[in-house]
Amino acid sequence: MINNEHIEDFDERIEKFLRGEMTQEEESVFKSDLKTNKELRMRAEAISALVRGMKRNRANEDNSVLNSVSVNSKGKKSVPVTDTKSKVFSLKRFAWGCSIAASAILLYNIFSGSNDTMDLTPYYIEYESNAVRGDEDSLAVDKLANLFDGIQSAEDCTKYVEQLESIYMSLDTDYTYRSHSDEIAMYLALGYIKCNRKDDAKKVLKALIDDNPYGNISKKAEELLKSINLE
Amino acid sequence: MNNNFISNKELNRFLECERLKVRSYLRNAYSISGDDIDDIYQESSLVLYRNIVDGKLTALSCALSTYFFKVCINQALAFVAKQKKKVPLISDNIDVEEGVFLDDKLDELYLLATEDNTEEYRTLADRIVDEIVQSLPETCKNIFEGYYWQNLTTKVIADMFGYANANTVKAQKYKCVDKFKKRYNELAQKYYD
Repeated sequence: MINNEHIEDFDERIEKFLRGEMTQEEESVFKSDLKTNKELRMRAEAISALVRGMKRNRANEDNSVLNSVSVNSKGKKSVPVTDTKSKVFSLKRFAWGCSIAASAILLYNIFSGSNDTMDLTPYYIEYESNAVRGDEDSLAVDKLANLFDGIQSAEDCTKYVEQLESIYMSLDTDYTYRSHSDEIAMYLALGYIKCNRKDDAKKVLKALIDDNPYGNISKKAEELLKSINLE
Repeated sequence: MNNNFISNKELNRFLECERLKVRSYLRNAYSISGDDIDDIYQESSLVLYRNIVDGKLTALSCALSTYFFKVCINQALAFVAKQKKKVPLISDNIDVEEGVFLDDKLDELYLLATEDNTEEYRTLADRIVDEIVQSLPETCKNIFEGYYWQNLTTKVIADMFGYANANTVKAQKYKCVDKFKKRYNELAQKYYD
């Protein structure tokens, strides 16, 4: 059985080889290990294929940008312009759309759902708000701690779920809360369960397990998912 | 300050893709506020445009996004120095990049590791990679692009995407590679079945 530490070491060796940073001896041992270690060989094939793919695709995209500017600029003295602010507003409109959709789903569930009796206590996480990030992010951390606390302790936690849902939906575009994505997903699932939105909770938990299969939080997520399915 | 933007569709798309991560990096690394970052970004965009037009990027040795990122850093350093009324410490040697992944080493390792060196398998492998990368979560795409294409350090990637530190990025990268490898092997196996 190969543990994670070994595989991380594999990655470091593979990357060192690809950057041409190995000594002759290191390279010789590495090549010898490749012949005898199937896991290292499979990882090396996957990583080299991945890097080649990234380079191939992105190099094409870069050339496309460079060529388009070079071609368009020939014979032009000045640069045609548009307003940059409108691009920012278009994103905000998207966010509003998401919020309205989220609110509609929440309202539907409030008026159509029934009370839930699942014991969620074992699934709440001890949230260390001071240890996770630096001072500049303390506002974001405080906000999350407040939302997590609301979901855990408030009888009607819909407003906390709504806010956390909005953060969860913007994780791919807003990096403020990115390093807390697992905790956000877990608490959102717990909030969904309290709001009788079990199907939504299942989706979030499945995504959490899929994104972070080896994390401790995934074990809790798996247990919670099983509990929901047994209900 | 010029409040306008370059109207080239390809370049605009590129700049829009880069915007969030550069903003996040400048905010985290230099504590620059939103409006000032907008100004820095706009100035950097114009510098990039002018340099392309002037033919300075015809032999670019790194990713366009890495080059642009360095332009943004230089603009940010100039801004910070101006605010503090000090001589700017602008340098091309800011430690934002790891060593480049060498093409000849990539080919060599691929040949050493794969059990099938035929052109047919290589084409298939390229297709598999494209398919998997398209379907990966944004988290993994961002890390792969930053690390394997832009050659950025894990510390820079952490600041760009709001991770706690370089180690968090390393752990996430490992998970993403694991996920990629699993699917790559599954799809490659289907080819032989």
